[in-house]
Amino acid sequence: MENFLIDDDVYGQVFVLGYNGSESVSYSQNGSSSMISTRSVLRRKPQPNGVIPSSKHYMVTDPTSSASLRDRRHFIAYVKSRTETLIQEYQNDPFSDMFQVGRSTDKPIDVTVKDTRCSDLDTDEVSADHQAAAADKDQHRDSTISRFACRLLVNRTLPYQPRVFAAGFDNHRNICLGEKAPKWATESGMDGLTTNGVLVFHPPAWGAIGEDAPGWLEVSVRGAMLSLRSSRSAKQRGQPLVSDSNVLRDGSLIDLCGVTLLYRTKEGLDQSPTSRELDDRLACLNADRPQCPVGMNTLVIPRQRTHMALKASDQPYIYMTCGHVQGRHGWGDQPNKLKKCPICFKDGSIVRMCMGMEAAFIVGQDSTPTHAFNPCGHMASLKTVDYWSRIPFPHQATAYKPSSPACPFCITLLDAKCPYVRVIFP
Amino acid sequence: MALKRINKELQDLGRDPPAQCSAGPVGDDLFHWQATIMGPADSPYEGGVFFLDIVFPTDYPFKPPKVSFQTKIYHPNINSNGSICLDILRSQWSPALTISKVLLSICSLLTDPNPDDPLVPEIARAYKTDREKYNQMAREWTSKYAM
Repeated sequence: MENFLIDDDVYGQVFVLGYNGSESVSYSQNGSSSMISTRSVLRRKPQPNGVIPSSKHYMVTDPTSSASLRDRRHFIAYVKSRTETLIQEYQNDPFSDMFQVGRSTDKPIDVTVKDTRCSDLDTDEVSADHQAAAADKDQHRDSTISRFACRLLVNRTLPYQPRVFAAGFDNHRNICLGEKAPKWATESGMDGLTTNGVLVFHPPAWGAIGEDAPGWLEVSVRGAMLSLRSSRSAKQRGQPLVSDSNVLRDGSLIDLCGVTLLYRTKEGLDQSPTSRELDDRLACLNADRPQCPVGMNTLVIPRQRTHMALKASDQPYIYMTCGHVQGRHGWGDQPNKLKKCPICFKDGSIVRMCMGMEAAFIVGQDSTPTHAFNPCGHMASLKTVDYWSRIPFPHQATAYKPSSPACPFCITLLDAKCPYVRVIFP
Repeated sequence: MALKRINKELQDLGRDPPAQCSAGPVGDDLFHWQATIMGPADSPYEGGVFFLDIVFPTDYPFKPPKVSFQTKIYHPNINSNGSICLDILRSQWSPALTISKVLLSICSLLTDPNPDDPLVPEIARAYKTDREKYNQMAREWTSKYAM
C-alpha cells in the first residue's frame, strides 16, 4: 500500500491520461521548462479555500473598475455587451476546499496540465528519431487547453462529494466570460460555458459500463450539466439536464480539450492494484524469459514504449491479428507491408509490446496482463482493455464528437473493429 | 541472423535433445549438418538408424532447410534420392519451426506414412492395398541398409 492511500486527509486523486505511469513530464511554457506531475493527490487544505456564489450580483459598465476587483473578492464577470457586465460575487466557504486545474503554472492552479496528443502509430517505418522530432513539433502547436480550465470543490468532511465546474479563478481571483461565450440567465443570476468547454463522463461504476453507455456531458461555470454543443466551441449551449450532477465519482473523466483527466476516489484506489503489484507482474512475465520463436532470443517487456535501455532485438512485438508475441525479425519476401505470423500464418500488422504501468487505470483486482490494446500494444487485464474500449473519447477541438475509444496509457485511438487482442506468449 | 539462429538451435539440441534423434554439424561448416533418426518402435523401421543430410540456406529460418535421407528407406514419401515429401519442408515451412521439430515430424512420418501424397507411387500402393507386403519390404530394407 502506498502511503498516501492511508492518509485521512486524502479526498481522491486526479490522473492525466496518456502517460502510462510516468510520474512527471517535462513542460515548457514561455521559454522556461519545468516538470509537471501526471497524478495529483487532492488533500485536505490547511485552511478551507472553497468559494461559493454570494447573493451579491450587480451590473457594471466596466468590469475592470468594479469594487469587487478592487477588493480582491472572487467573482465571475459575464460580459453581455461592451457596456453591460454582470458581476457575480463569490464568498469564502468554510466547508469546502477548491482545487483548480489548467495550463497555467501560476499559484491559483493546483494541477498544471499540458496537451497530450495521440501518439504516432507504431509503424516500423518510423524511426525513433523521427518520432522524437514529431513529438517536439507537437510541443510547439498552440494549446487548446485554457490556462484556468476548471475547478473542483470538495467538502472538507464526509461525504466529500467533489464537484467539477468549468473555468478556474485567475491571478486576480476572477473568471471572465467574454461577449462570445454562451451564457444565460438563471433564477439566481447567470450561468455560462467556457470557449472550449469542460466535458464530464460519469461511468455507472468504476469498471462497469453496460451496452447503453452514458455519454459525455458539458459542465457550466456554475456546475450545471448540459448535453454537448453541436461543436466544441459552438455559441449555442446544449440542453440543461437537471437529473445529471457535477459530483465526480470513482472513474469520472474530465476532458479539458487537449487533455483528459481521470478522477479516482481514495476508496476506489484502495480496491485497485498498486503500482508495486504491476511492477511484480511485469517482473514475473520477464522472469519467464519469453523467447522469440524465430530469433530464439529472450524478449524483455518494457515499462515504456521508448525504453532506451532495451536492445532492439529484445523488444517483443505483437501480431495484431492473432496476438502471437515475437521479436523483431525479417519476414523473407512479403509482397505487402503486412507481416505473416510465423506461428499461424495469419497476415497482420505488428506492434511493439509494452506494459500498461498506471495502476489507477487498471479495472478489477487481478492485474495479470493478458491482453493488449490495438494498435498501441499496451498490455493490461481483459477487464481493463474491455472497459476502456467502451468509452468514446472527445478528441481535441476539431474532431469533437466523442467517437472512438482510446488507450488510457497513451491515448492512441483504438481500432474500431478490434480494439484489443489476447496476447499469446511463445 | 541465420548463423546466430543455427548456433542457438545447436545449443538447444545439446541441452534438450528430442527423443530418438540427434543432429549436429558435419565439420566446421555450421550450415551443413548430419542427423540420425532411430526407427520408431511401432513401425517396420524399428531397430534401424537412419542418417539424414541437412543443408541450411543462407536466409534460414525464412527458407526451409534442405533435409534428405542418406540411408536408403522403403517409404511412400521418401524416394531413392532420399528426398522427403513433407509439407513443412516446403509450402508449410515457418521460421518458427526448428530442426528439432522437423526431425520429430519425420519420425511421425515414418510411423504414419501419407500414401495420398506419395513420392514413390508403388510403395504407396503397397501400403494401401497390401500392408503386410509393405511392412515386410520396409523391415527388409531397414535390416539391409540401416543396421
